[in-house]
Amino acid sequence: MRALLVVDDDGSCRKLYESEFSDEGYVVAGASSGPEALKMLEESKFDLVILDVKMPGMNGLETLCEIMKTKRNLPVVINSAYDTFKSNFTTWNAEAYVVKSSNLEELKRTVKSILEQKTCSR
Amino acid sequence: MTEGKAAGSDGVEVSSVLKCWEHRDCSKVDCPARGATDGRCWIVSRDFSPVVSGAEDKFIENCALCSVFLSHLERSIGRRVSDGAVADTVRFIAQEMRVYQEALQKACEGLRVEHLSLETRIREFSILFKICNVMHGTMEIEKILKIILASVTSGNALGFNRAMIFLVDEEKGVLSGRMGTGPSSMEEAARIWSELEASNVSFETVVRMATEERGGRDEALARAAKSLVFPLKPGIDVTVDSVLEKRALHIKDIDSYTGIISEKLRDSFVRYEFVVVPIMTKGRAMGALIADNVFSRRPITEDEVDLLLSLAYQAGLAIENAAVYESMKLRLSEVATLQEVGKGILSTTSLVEVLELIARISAQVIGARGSVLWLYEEGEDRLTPGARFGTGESIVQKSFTELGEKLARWAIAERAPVLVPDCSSDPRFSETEKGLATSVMGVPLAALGNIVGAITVYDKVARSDFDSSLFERDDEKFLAILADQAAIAVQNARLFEAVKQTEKRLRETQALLLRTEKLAALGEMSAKVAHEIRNPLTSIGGFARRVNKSLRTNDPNRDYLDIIIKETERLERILNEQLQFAQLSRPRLQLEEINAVVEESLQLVSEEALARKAKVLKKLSMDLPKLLLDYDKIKQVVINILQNALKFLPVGGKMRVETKKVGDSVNVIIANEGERIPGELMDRLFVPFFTSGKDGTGLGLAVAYQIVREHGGEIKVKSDKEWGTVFCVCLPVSANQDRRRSPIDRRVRRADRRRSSEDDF
Repeated sequence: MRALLVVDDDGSCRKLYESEFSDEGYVVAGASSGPEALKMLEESKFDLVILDVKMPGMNGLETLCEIMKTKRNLPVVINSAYDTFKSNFTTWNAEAYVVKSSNLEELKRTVKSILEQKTCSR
Repeated sequence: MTEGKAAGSDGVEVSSVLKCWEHRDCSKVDCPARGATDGRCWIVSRDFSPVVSGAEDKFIENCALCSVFLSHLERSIGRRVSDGAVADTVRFIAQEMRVYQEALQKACEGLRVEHLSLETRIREFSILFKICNVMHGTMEIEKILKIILASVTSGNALGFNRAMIFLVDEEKGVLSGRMGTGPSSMEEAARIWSELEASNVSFETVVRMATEERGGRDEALARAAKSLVFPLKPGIDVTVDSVLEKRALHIKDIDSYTGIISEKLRDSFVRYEFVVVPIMTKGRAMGALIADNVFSRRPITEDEVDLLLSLAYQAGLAIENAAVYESMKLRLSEVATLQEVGKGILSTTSLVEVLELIARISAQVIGARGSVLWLYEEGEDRLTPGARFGTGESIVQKSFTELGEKLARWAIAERAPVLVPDCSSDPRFSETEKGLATSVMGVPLAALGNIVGAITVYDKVARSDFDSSLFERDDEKFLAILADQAAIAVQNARLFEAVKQTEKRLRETQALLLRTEKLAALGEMSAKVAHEIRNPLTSIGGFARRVNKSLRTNDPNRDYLDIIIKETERLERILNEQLQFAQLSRPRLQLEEINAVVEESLQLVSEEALARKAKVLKKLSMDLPKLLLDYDKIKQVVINILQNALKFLPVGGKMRVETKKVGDSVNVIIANEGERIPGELMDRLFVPFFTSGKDGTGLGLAVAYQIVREHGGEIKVKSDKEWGTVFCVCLPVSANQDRRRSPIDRRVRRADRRRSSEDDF
């Protein structure tokens, strides 16, 4: 059972992701901000993080930085409405960058393939 | 003389009465003592004061010659020693006196002659002085000539009957008559002399009358003079000979003269003894003066010839001065004009005004009938008339334009003035052209080494009797100076116009830039807004899908939810395109594999392709060079084109995706079966909002176009028989491929390692 952490300040989005990924068979938790996410990561073990960029306070990139400090091997998927950060080197630590869409297929695919790879590489 | 005493010894007192020795009549009619009765005429009063004033010399003279006195004197010799002594003395004295008297007479005579000659000299000098005063008092050549002639013919001066003046024209090499004065018949001469005698005018008055009147009674001779033109060669005429030999020729007898007197001169002037003197200055002969006394028949003396020579010399000086003065005046006026031109040119920056000013001045100052100012474009070898000025018939002016163009081109080709003083004798002109103008001149306008135009002028009009009616070197020089100024003025005016244009364009560009910035700002804003919209859209669409999934297949609500989902997708598409368009920033270039881009793009549209059941043929070349591009942007391009192809692909149709190297670019070809796009639509494919047919905003291809352009490539589209539409994205292989390992290569980009199976770089 894979555990996913969805980090997004938008409640509706979080709820959507939680529902969708649950249906896929994942255990999903949600954090509404960077600091909350970090705290949750400390407390529990997660297999993948879905991270939004535009958040008030600590934004997604900063959060990513922090995560990388302690959990280098934790795959992070950046999921943002903005696609500008795709070419930004700050996102290169992330495994993937998926632009937000109402059609979650791409995101689901990406998560699935990342987790499969991780299983393989172990 | 000793005290007279009586001859006798009686010591009779001297008598104061005159007495004559000869009682009889003697032949000495002027002796005052003649006829005196007492017989002793040599007895004078005691105190020797002359008894009859004025009679002393006659007395002594006569007594010394009086035979009676002398015989008495002889007789008294030897009587007494003292008597003899007296007599001797008296005789001696009388002899001496005679000698002294003769000598005195001779001396007086001599002095008188000298005095006379001095008087003549003084008179001559004073005449010359007067003449010179009057002559040098004016700088007008016309007047000077009149003064000279008046001096030669006036009774108060040299007193000849008639005279004519000739001047040398060095350019033409001729001696030409300028003026003449004198009566034309005996009757007229007589009348004039009696007039003059009666009125007794002074020399100054004569001169004043001569210089004030214009022609008048001297017309015949003046006209005759103007008709005389002799080439400056020997054997033509006596006047020419005088000039060439630089000496006076006094022909006393015209029939026996061995030199040449031309027919023309005989007809106009020569009838009788005459004299020709050259008018000289500084060793140079510049003319001739001819004079005679045909009416008075008075022979011409050597003195008169000398005097005439002196006058001629003075005349030469005066004429030369006047000529210099006139030419200086002309030059000064030209300089003043140049100044005016310069000021005018500096103060007008309108090209048209400058051109007209130059055209006008060109003609007016040198006395041309008309002028044309030409403008020349060196790069295109194009000559256009810029401005015209002219007096005279406009038809002539118009026809002159063609001739003028020819002339202008010569001047420009030569890069130097072209002077054609006489068109009729120049073989370069056609017959019709010769008829258009008498003499023409053209100068190029050159500024800073560029030829910017030319000035052509035609038909000079003489400004005075001494001005030529053909263009001369001085005119050429003036026009050349004017041309220099004009060239700079034209250049300046052009530069000014160019500056104005540039300023205008700059302002326009600034305005455009401002607008663009506003748009950009707007774009940024719209980007922000678009982003803000995306989040809610995700939720709406996402949940709609969820609900849809949970409904039974035949639930009617499914239809409603389908609509919600579809509309959300549409909104997302719109957003995507808007965002693409709004953030067309500079591409971040790196060396990338184009095949990787294509592969990923295909992957991303795979769902759509699947939905349309498209058959995709992939033909990606190996060994393609890496291209300098912005990965994401080019990916966008490929995606947009693929989506467009899919849009027009019939269901189940074929699609071809190819990459290959062609020349120095790499081409990505995306072709799809289907309807051919008609020609006019093809042109507008890349216009924003044009292809907003079924869905989307119509920006996809526009964005693609822009991105490819930014990369220095181009998108081409064509319709094929086989394939309905063929898109070709041609990207240049950069000249200097960046082969170094950039630091970013070493990034921790785990995703990349999985993306392509080939090695990174």
